[in-house]
Amino acid sequence: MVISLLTGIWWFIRGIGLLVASVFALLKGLRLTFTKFFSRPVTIQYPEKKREVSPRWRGIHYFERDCVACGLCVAICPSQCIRLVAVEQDDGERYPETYEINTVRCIYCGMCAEACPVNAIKLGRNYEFVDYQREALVLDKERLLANAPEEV
Amino acid sequence: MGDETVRITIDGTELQAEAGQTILEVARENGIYVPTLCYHPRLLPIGSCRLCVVEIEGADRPMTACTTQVQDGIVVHTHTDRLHRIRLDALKLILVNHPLDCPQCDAAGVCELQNLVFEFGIDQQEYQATKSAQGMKEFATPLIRQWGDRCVMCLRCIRADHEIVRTHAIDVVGTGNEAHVGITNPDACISCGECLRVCPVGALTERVSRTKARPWQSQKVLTTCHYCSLGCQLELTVFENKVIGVTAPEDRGANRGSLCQRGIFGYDFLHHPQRITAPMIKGAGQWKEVPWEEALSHTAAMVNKVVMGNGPEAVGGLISPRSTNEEIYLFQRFMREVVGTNNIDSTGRLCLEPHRLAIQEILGNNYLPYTLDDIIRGDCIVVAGGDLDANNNIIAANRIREALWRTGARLIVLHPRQGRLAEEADCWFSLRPGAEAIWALGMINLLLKDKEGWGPSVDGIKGFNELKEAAKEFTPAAVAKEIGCSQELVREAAGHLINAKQPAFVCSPPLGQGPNGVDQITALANLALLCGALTDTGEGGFHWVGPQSNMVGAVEMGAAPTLLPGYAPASERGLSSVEMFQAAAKRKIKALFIVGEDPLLTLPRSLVEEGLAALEFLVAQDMFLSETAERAHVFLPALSFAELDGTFTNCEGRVQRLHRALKPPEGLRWGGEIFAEVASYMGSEMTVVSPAAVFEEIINANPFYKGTMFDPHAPQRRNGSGGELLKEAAFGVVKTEQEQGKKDYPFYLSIEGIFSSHLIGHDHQRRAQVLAHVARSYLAMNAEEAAKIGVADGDRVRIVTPWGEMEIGVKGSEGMRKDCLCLSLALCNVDVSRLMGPQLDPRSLVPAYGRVPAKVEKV
Ligand code: SF4
Ligand code: SF4
Ligand code: SF4
Ligand code: SF4
Ligand code: SF4
Ligand code: FES
Repeated sequence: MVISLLTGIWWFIRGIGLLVASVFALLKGLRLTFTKFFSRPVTIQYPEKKREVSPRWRGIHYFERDCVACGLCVAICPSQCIRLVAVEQDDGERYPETYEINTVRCIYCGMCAEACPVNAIKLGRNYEFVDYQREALVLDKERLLANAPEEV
Repeated sequence: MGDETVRITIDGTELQAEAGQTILEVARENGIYVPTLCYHPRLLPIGSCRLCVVEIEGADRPMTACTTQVQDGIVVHTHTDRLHRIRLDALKLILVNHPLDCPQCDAAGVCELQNLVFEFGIDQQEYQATKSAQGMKEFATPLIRQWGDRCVMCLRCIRADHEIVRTHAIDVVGTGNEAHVGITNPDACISCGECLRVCPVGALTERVSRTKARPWQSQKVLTTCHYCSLGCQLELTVFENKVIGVTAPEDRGANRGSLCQRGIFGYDFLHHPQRITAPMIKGAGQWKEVPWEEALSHTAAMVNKVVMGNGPEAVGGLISPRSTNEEIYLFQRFMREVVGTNNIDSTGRLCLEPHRLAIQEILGNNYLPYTLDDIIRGDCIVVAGGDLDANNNIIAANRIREALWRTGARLIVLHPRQGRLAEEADCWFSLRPGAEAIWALGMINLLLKDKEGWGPSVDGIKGFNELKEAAKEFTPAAVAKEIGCSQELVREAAGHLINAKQPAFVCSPPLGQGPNGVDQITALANLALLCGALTDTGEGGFHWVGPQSNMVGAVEMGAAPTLLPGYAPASERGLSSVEMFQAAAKRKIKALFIVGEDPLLTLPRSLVEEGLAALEFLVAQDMFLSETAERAHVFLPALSFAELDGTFTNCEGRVQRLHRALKPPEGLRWGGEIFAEVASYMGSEMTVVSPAAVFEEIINANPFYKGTMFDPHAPQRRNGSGGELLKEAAFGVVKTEQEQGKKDYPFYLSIEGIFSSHLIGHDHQRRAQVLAHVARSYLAMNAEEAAKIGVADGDRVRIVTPWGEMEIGVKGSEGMRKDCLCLSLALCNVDVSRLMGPQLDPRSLVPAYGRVPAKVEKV
């Protein structure tokens, strides 16, 4: 009888101990939740709000000025996604008849901009570039010119 | 160059060299790199850029390796600190006036200066000088642009112009810092592009293709030029399935890096808007595009119908000598095995046959073993027949010029007009075409008198006594009178031949394409045999240069009414090209299959017109709707040479490969496939797998091609060349009686360039457009004679022959025989063929392109 009472008490105390321990663990786990719950959120309400990117961000390409069709960007591009058809005008001037960047293959390394001897091709700060068709993700001359940021 | 060998040490390695070689040559041969800029292996070194300086132990000053000859025992250092400083400074001085143009410059990526600057790591230069800016200008030819500011004054262009082509169109103008490459005689420029190809930088650029591409955007595909029989090896620069330029490798082919106007600039026809890319059938006078199956089955049905109704002899075939060996071989199989007739011919045969027959008569051989390299070893060169320069066999003409100035060879030219070679000749005989035999016999007469002076004993050769007898009456006096020159000239020429250790003959059509044509060549070959130009060893030689790329292959593959592949005689003689049209007019031939030929432009026109009009069925296979194709019932589009795999056999017997550089337009197939499909619709099987497999078939069918390969590792020639050439030699019998000139026709007209120019197109259809732009066709006539009828240079005249007439601009020349006219065609004129008569040389079955009776009227 006495033994069974003692066993009951032992179980009781152990139960309390376990309860306290698990509540403590729970509280410990919720600590991050509570601290974050009452702090300001890091997510932004995209697309209503847009993230500012660093000045060195490499986003969608644009033409800052006229390309002279030298072909250096074609040579350097590691994913070989630039297509250039250079044409010589009657006055001997070269210009790109076709200039296309396949942004699906582009890895945004920025090598083309670095190679360009006339600073024509640049990587802008725009990163919003989606479409339902892959074809639409190929940037041609006109779109590259249109991509130029306003302040430039 | 001496045969002596010397030993020299370069950078510690002991090397053997031939005395007379330069240090640079020895270094390059042994793979030792020395930077150079003004040096070019084909040009005499001038030592002006000073990049190749080397130090020689014992000499206090560095020497230029490109101009210094080796001497026994010298010790040379090519890379020392001092040399590096000198080279760096030399390079910086070159850069003083150089613009920072690389991004805009055509040469970037293949520019020798750019490579050197990169190699020396120059990123700035401290010297200053001002030179007036020159900008971009048209060069001596509108096909080349000059960017004076990029010029490094290596003078390679000027040296190429003066040494290789010898036109002297350009030279140095100005002095000191202001010196530049100037155009001193633009009229002399022949647009050969030699200057363009040697320019190490982007100072000279081509302007055929508007599209440009850097080497990393494009591929180069080695192939064979499809214009003339020299078979120059060239590389097509291909960018996005478009040919945008042509270059030539230095170490392949007879051309050694050179090309002529056609080879280097004549590629724009490949992308011509008028090219036809779908099969068509004509119904009610209108062309209608049809599927291939329909065109081919219709062709087969029509041919079958004629064969059933009128027998196989009522069908004829013409194939262009610009088709590959494989196509020609299959076409003759188609005609002979599927149709069952020997009525097959090619204009290539018209150009080769007279020569073949003459050689056959004298040597019992069908061809000769000589290469163009052998010309340079000749010390007296006889040029007969066409004007090599005017007919655009410039590469052969340049070889002759090289022999003239490198070894001091003598040159004898037989041509009514004083062309560029005649101007440089020791003896120019302004003879009437067809008088070559008389000239040759005159030479033989004098050579036999002076028996002691010359080498090989020829008394034993069969026919010697007859020849001696025949030559007796051709004394210098008689020959001089007949030709209309002085006796001294005859004696002088004979003297050159007598003194020559190794004479060489270079002949080309229209020699042999006139009345008694074969006799003219036989007579020249007799002379060649007598004076020792025909050798077993391949020196000097007797050369035949033709206007079509596969002239030789066409005959060797059996596109001839009398010959099967490998010159085997056909059991039954078929009809030759002209005879086919005659037979068609008589309604004996009812169907014709024409592959790539344009007989309305190249064969007697009235005859062809009559024949075509009477045909029941005409099928034409071509890239364009040619004059002839327009009159066809079925049109099958053909591939261009850049889209073909196959082989050509050039005039030296080299079997050279065409590599497919462009993907053909959708659905287009090569000739072999077309013939096989027509055959299968006709109920016969011709198994055609690929050009390579057909070549295997050729090797088995044609003993001369045994041992050759479709894809050889090294340049190859079909065999049978060389060996005991003279074993069965015999002098040939030559008829010299001349047909009397026709009354009222005071001139003898020769038509030159007809077979090469129809490819460039004609006034209404310019195929190679930039070539057409610079092409000038004209009638050359004696200036006095021109004055007599009251015309000046450039005026239009009417040429009238008994068969027709045409109008063309005239070019009066003092150096032109009075009773002769030369119609020099660079762009074809659709009326030229009207001037030709239907008579054939009974031996060669070739109509007359030379010695046509004619008169000239002012328009
Ligand atoms: S974008 Fe710049 S590097 Fe690219 S082709 Fe144009 S100029 Fe050359
Ligand atoms: S010539 Fe050579 S170095 Fe000069 S601009 Fe052209 S590519 Fe550059
Ligand atoms: S194209 Fe030929 S002929 Fe004309 S300048 Fe150049 S090398 Fe001389
Ligand atoms: S144009 Fe070219 S080849 Fe001629 S001198 Fe100038 S750099 Fe040399
Ligand atoms: S010489 Fe003849 S083969 Fe050579 S490039 Fe000219 S046309 Fe072509
Ligand atoms: S290469 Fe020898 S001086 Fe120019």
